[in-house]
Formats: sequence, C-alpha cells, structure tokens
Amino acid sequence: MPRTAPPPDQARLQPFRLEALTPLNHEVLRLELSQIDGPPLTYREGQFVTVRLPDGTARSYSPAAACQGDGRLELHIRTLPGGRFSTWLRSDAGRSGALLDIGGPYGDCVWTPPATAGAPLLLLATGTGIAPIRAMLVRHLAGAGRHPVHLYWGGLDQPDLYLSEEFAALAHRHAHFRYTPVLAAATEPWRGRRGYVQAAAADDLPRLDGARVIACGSPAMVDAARTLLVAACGLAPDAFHADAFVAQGAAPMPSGDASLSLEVGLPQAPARRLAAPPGGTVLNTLAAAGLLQGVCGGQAACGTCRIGIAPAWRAALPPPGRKEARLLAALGSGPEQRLACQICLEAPLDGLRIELP
Amino acid sequence: MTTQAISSPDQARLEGVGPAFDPERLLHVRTLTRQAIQRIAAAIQPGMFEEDAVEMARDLLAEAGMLRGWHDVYVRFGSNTTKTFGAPSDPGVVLGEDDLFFIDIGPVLQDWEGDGGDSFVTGRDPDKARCAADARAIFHEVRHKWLSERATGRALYDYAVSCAAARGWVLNMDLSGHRIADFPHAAIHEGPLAGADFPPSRLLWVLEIHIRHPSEAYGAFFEDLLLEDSYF
Ligand SMILES: Cc1cc2nc3c(=O)[nH]c(=O)nc-3n(C[C@H](O)[C@H](O)[C@H](O)COP(=O)(O)OP(=O)(O)OC[C@H]3O[C@@H](n4cnc5c(N)ncnc54)[C@H](O)[C@@H]3O)c2cc1C
Ligand code: FES
Repeated sequence: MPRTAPPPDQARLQPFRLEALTPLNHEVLRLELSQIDGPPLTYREGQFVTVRLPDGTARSYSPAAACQGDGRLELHIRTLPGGRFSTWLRSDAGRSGALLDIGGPYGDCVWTPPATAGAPLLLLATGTGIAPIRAMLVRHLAGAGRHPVHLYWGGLDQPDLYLSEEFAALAHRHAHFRYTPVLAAATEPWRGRRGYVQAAAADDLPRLDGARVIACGSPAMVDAARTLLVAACGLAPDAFHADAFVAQGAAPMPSGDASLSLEVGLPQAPARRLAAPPGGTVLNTLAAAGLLQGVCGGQAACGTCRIGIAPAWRAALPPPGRKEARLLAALGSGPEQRLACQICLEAPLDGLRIELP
Repeated sequence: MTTQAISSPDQARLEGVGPAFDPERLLHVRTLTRQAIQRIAAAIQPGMFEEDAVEMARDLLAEAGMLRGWHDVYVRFGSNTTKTFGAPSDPGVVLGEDDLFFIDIGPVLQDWEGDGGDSFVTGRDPDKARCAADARAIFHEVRHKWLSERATGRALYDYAVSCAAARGWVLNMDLSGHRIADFPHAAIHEGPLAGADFPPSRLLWVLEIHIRHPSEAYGAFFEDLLLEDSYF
C-alpha cells in the first residue's frame, strides 16, 4: 500500500522560504527551501515531507539531498499539466521568496542493507522517484560496506534522466556501485537499455534471494516490480521497500479507507454523503460521483465547478486565491460561492456541506 | 493526399450544437476575442516576465467581462512558444528585445465560446518575424484549401504539415483544431479537427496552426474559426 501523509492538522508544520527554483529538464524543477524558524527539520534520507500551499493544498515530496540538519531542503518536482501544486509552481506565486509550510518527515522507506552478506541492494526509480534514492546514495554509498549496489533509473527519453552524469561519475568512483539508465521510448540513437527498469533488473539479477529492493516513483512501476521480482527472482516479499508517488489530488476514490466525507445538497433530490480522499479537491470527489464535471481541467478558468458552501462551513475554508477570487468576481458570485476545483479536502473540512446549483 | 470530400455518418453528430447556438452571437464573441488578443499584445513589452503577462492578460479580460474561459489564458514568451497546449511554461522567462510571443485565449461570453490565438514579435529578428507571419500564412493556405476543395479535416492537416515543411517549420499536431459551439463544446465533441473524415462546416471548427523551428527553441501559433475570406 502506498503510504500517504497524515492530515496536515496533525502534523508539525514549519515555515520555509522558497530560495530558488531551477529547471532540471523540460518538466522537473529543483526547489531549494530554507527553514525560517523553529528547530531545524531533520529527516532520514528516503523519507518524505508534506508541503502545504498557501491555499491549504498539501502534497508529499521526498528530499533529494542528504540531511545536513541545517534547515535546508532540496526537492525535485515533476510538474504535471493541470496538477494543483504543479500549476502553483508555474504561476507567479511560485517564485523565490514564497513561503510554504512543511510538515514531516514521514515514511520508513530508508536505506536498509541486504539481509545476507554479499547480496545486492537493488534501487529502482522512475522519474523524480530518483530524488529519495539520490539522497540515500549521497549519504550511504561511501560507507555502504561491500555489498553491491545497483541503481536502475527509468524514463521515456534521455532528458528524463536529468542526473545521469552524476550517477555515472559515482559509479566511476565506487567499484561496488553500478548505474543502469533504462529508456522506454528513446527517440535519439540510444545504445543503452530499453524497456522498463524492473525488467532490466530482473534480466541482470535473476537471483535476488537475500537481496533488498527499494523502489520509488510511479505506482505502476512499484506494483510491477514487486510482482516480477518476487515471482521471477525469488525476492523475499518483506525485502521489497517502496514509496509509490501516488498523486494525492487525482487519486481514484479509495474504496474502503476514505477518511473524509462530503455532504452534497442537490437541487431536486435528497442530499448525498460522499466518501472523499484527503488531499483531493471537492471537484475530484464530485466528478468521481458523476455529479459535476469541470470544463477547464481545474484551472479556475471556466466556472463550471461553481458550488455553494453551507453557511456554517464558510469560515472553515481558506479564502480564495487571486485567480479564484477574480473569476468568482467576474461571474458575479455571492460570498457563499466557491470553485470546487480550488477547494482541497483535508481533515478540518471533514463533513463539509456544499450545495450544487 | 485525399482532397475529395468523404461523407461520414459521424458528421451530423460531431457537428451538433447545443440549445443556445446562435451564429450571430458566436461571430460577435469571435470579434471580441480577436480584439482582446490585440489589446493584450499591445500591453506586452520586452523585459516583462511571462507570468506577469499572463496576470495582465487576465486583468484585461476581466475588465472586458471575458475572464471566464473554456480553457486557461496562455501567453507564451520565447522558448515557451514551443510548448504544446496545456503544458506548463518554464518559469521566469523574460521577453527579449528580439523575441517572439504568442497569446491563446478561449473566453466564454454568456453561452458562447470564443477561441483565438496569434503571434507577435519584438525587435527585428527576421527569422522570428517570418515564423510569426508564416503561422498566419499557413492558416490561410489551409483555410483556402478548405474553401476551394471542401477537403476533410484530416486532409487539411496533411496539407498543413506540408505547408509548414515547405516554409522550413515543423507543425505540432497536438494542436490540430477542434469544435467550437455554445458552451461547452466538450459536451458535443472533444476530438481534433485533424481526425474528421468529412469536410468541416463553417463556423463550427477552429483551425489551429502551431509551428516551431526544427532545431531552435521558438515557434508561433495562429488560430481562428474556419470562415470565408470576408471575415479576415
Ligand atoms: C510518498 C510520496 C512522495 C512523493 N515524492 C515526490 C517527489 O519527490 N517528487 C515528485 O515530483 N513527486 C512526488 N510525489 C508526488 C507528489 O506528491 C504529487 O502527487 C505530484 O507532484 C502531483 O501534484 P500536483 O498537485 O501537481 O498534481 P495533482 O493536482 O495532484 O494532479 C495530479 C495529476 O494527475 C492527473 N489526473 C487526473 N485524474 C487522474 C486519475 N484518475 N489518475 C491519474 N492521474 C490523474 C491530473 O490531471 C494531474 O495532472 C510523491 C508522492 C508521494 C505519495
Ligand atoms: S473546473 Fe474550471 S473553474 Fe473549476
């Protein structure tokens, strides 16, 4: 099961300043953050933190550098078209100097040596799943003992593997470390491995009994790798550790363990109570129930997701951001109206009552 | 290349309109959209951040009562002009003295959708000026083929690819036309014009031309409704 962060109200939040935002490739940005006050946040490499936007949206990210205990964080974030945090990062709000609250650390997907001496530690990553793995490598590789460490990093094409040179250099320096880039859709001439990371690793390392695997990145890769390596290579199931980067905003409605509820008043029908995954937007939940569709993809552009908020709940919502406020004003909205695509569901909003037009 | 009209049983369905459809209103929204693009372009100056230009564009549209859109407001500067629809821009791009930018807006007025795009240059870079002018020229070449041959949507985009190549550019087929109607057209048909195996009818389709340089990081965009010469 992918682990999700506890609701932000239970978390200790610390204020951080966004110091720099640098593109690492066409879709990945490096964020450098520094803590403004409080005891410096410390983490074990491989853990993740939750970053909370001024509007309350919370997303999980894994630090990409070793912890120095100096209150600095480096994150690698793959921006997704239409993604809420991604859109914020690409907007003018997401400039250096912006303030963000950060909670954590969470998770226990950290560097764990193999159970058997001499057996390999296999690291698998897709995309920005490389961030926690890089942090672990920087911290532990030099002292990693003698067990072999294999890193397989997968992307579609060469630009996706934005740290390849760094890992090639590490492999050059450390004889027990091997780095294998794997491309699923190389367009330029490519003499390296093709296909998927888990398949490449299973080909190279057909015997994984006694080994340990750490997989970070796309949930599809994490699932496929667990199945393949246990079934085909004899990996012990409890030797597989993973952080699947499940999109919190877009996660399909979990069937049993949705912990929040949304109460929906309908114009011509009795009200309905919907289960709502924390971290998603009100629109995500309404769309999953087939009650409302947003035309612009949650961009606060179309106004089709405008809903009413029951009076008792109005004060509980974070105020609308600039983009939402401007569209609400342009639509001649009353104070009770909000855009469902801009309201992120979190624990304090459990039981939120809204009215559909 | 297919130039002959293929009648398709899908045409009637894909060219349906909603209850509020009104050609006069749609043309009026088109006029307002083209005017808004020109107003936004006039306010953009070298030295501006792209993010600030987007905010300024939203403010101008809000003043004109045109902020609501069926898609977001796009102003792309410099290397971001190669980005496809919906892709996030690289942050912090500043418009240069000899640069290129484009605007793409899709405002909704009451029940009617607009959609328009155009490209502009600062300074005197002849290649960038040619790129912006060619996006517009290719739009009209393709539109003339539609007028004179009643070509299918698919044939129009085959032709657009060759027009772009003849001028030394690459056509981005991710932006290959779509329906427009009373809001929201997505309720009728979200597919591309380039996928239509019938000759598209006037006033119902947007022709999009997004070209980019084959090796350098700039491109240009032009889009408008498929209409006769007298509208341009
Ligand atoms: C433990 C953990 C660690 C993580 N670490 C990192 C990290 O280091 N770096 C990193 O880049 N990311 C990481 N992630 C992912 C990250 O938390 C966000 O999910 C991601 O950045 C997207 O956030 P967003 O707000 O931009 O997009 P969201 O608003 O969450 O939207 C996600 C995207 O999914 C699309 N979508 C819509 N519907 C669906 C659907 N039904 N199924 C799938 N997709 C859909 C949306 O259009 C959008 O593009 C981590 C996640 C977890 C759980
Ligand atoms: S989905 Fe378009 S404004 Fe919310």
